[in-house]
Amino acid sequence: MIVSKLVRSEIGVWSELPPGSRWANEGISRIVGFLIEGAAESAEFRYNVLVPRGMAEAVREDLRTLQARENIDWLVHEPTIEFECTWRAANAEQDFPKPEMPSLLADFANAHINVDGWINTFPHFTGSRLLKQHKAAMLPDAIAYDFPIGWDNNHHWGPQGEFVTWLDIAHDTLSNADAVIAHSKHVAHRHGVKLLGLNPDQIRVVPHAPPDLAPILPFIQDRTKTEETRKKAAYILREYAALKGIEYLRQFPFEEVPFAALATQDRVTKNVGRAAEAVRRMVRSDRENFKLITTAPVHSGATWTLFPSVVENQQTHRDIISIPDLPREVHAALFHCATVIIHPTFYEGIVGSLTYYEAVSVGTPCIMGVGPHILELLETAPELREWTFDPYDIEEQISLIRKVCAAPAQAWSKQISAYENRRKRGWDVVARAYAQAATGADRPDTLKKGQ
Amino acid sequence: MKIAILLEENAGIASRWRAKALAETLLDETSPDGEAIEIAIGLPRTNEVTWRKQEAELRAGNNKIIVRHLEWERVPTEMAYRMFPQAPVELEFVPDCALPRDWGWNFVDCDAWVVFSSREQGAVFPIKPTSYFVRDLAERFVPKAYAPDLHSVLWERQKHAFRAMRHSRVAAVSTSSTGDDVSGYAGVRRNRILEVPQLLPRHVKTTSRKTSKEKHLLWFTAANANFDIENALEALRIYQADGGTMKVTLVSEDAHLFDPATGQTALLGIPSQTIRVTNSIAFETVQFEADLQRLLNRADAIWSSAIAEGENEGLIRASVAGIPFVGFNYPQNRAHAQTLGVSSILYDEQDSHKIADALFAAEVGNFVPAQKSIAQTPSRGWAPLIERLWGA
Repeated sequence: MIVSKLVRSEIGVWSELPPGSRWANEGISRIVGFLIEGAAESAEFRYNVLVPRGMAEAVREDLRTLQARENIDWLVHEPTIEFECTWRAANAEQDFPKPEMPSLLADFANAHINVDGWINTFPHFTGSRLLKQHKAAMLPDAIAYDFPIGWDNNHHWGPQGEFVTWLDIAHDTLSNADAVIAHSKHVAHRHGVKLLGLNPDQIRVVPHAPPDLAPILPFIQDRTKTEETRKKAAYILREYAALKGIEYLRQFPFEEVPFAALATQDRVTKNVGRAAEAVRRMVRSDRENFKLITTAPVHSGATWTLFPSVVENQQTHRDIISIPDLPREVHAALFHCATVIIHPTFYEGIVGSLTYYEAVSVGTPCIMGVGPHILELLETAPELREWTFDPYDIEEQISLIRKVCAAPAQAWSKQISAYENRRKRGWDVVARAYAQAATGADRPDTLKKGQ
Repeated sequence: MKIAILLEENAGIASRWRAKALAETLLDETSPDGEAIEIAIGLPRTNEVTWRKQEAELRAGNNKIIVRHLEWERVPTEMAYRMFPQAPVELEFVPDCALPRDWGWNFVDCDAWVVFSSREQGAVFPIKPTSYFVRDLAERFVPKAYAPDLHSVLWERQKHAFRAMRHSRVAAVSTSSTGDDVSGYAGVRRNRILEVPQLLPRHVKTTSRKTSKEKHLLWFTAANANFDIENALEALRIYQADGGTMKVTLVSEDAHLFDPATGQTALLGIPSQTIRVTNSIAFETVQFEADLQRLLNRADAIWSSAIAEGENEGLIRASVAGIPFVGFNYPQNRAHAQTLGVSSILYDEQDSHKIADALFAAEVGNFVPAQKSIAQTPSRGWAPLIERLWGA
């Protein structure tokens, strides 16, 4: 029996994203969404999202799509224009560092938002240092320091380059926080302690709860793929192709064609090019009837990624197809209809791979390139090792694709239990852990007092 | 039932003999209502003398075959729908399409069309129940043979051709591998893909005219990337440098593009050391069946350097001539060598040394013996195609 607390703890979510920024479907924004849904489930907390003036409505629009109630499970705040005018008048003589928005936002928060603790969503949001309440800051990762080559060198690595200044800012912001939330042990250790020099006791490792795509496709029963469900997913894909004018895929019989799916942006860590090369070899050299459908865009002519050259120079665009920015339902349909999901990535800041969780949640097996995130997953799910490959070894990747394609249902049945085990810890638990880190309720002295 | 067989623009000798063989095969059938089949072949226009000679080849031995001049008229699709308001609305968002023109009824007097698939000409407007005859979708494997880059008009036209193919009554293929390509690459539903027996040239008389003990190898090729020219020439160079003695004749509809006497425009970019081997081979341009027969009469074996030709012309000719075959090992070559019972050497890699080894093996007659497998040939022949075209 679930007993709701009569009075919920108020948790603040700190964001300095300026008006016009993308919010919906962005990495950390989605995590905020999951946290709110988790809080709604436990009914123990209310999340108060604070953003700069002009951004609130975009955030509300996104949060209204969640399984959570506005004002009850979440609220979005922004400074009023009156507050801003008054603040500017009062601080006209002050020598604030530019930009002034973080200071303004913090003064607004301290004066008007009554919360038990804050969660700062990014280490570079410096205004959080001015908050008077207890606070936790998120450390997603410091990926550029593991993969420094492949960015715009002058912009990122000059004396005042973005990544160079980020390191100092992140160090100061995170050190100033009462707690730092990392999503995995490897980020806590490699980036939190070794790179940023944080105190290990300050860091809380709070892995995500695994996502579940099945509720998006209600025709799927028991996460199982059947001829009928694949047909329905293919219909969704065809409708989307027609809507978007993707001529080649209009009326394409997805359910009759074996294909792999790969969902990611293309970044220096994502290794999309080698997955594409694997499929190119399967089709061109081994004459296998196979395709890759990816959400990674083709950055035409880019040299920081191997992906565009496989598609453009080799003219593989009919068998290696890029369809970025898929709506959630279409993304779920793609994952259900695919024969196999490929996760070739070198590195993620979480435990495991979102695509693995999403794939098996809708009946599709996944193969995974080994990186620290996958190794951390294998600690609790060693049976998944069979489905991993060296992300540089294209032939090994091909062998694994073939192995899965030969018996996809069997492969999935060997992968699902690790997912179900992780699902026992849901977003309600994660949301509680975040709230406790934000309020200090998880500190040993606090725990002692509460006992 | 009158069936039109519509050849693609620039149809070569390989398309023409298939049209004739298909016409004769269909003439042997009856329509589902028991009536005789009539055939009209649409033969693309060329200069009138050549066209008449091609017409005569198509009608030789069977004057029931009617041959009409054909030109593919390109019109905006919306205009085509105004011309033929009863046509099924299947090509929405396809900007333009091809209509067959014959300076008469334009094949509308036929009950059904069999279109020889060519992605270069885009969508064929489906005025009549249409089927496609798909020899291969080789651009899947060797796109460079068809398009220099992604901006080529081929890729737009190909999308439109595939759209039309997806709506057709049936796409006929001669191997399951090509069927896989029609499914996975062209996106045609499986229930519209029909595997049919391999067509073979009929009325071919092979008479050995060998005048010496010297072995004679015919090299079937063409001036495009599908024929892996550089590796093939380098293999020949190695073969001859290592003492290979077969006399090699390059056979092609565009053999002049390889000939040192006419500039060798097909060989641009190939190292001069490799090109020098062309001084020791013969060149034969074949335009008509008779040209080819003369060459086959003195051949001991055929080598095709094709790497993705779905119905390998060299292999089929070897089958009819009863001589062995050398070629690249890919699924369609394997399947046809078996179903047609051709002794063969299939090399596994596009590697000049491997090809040279295969040529040496051919010289000593080290072919894998033919093991004809009748079981793999679709038993009902081409009758299901007629049924699909007939049915509602």
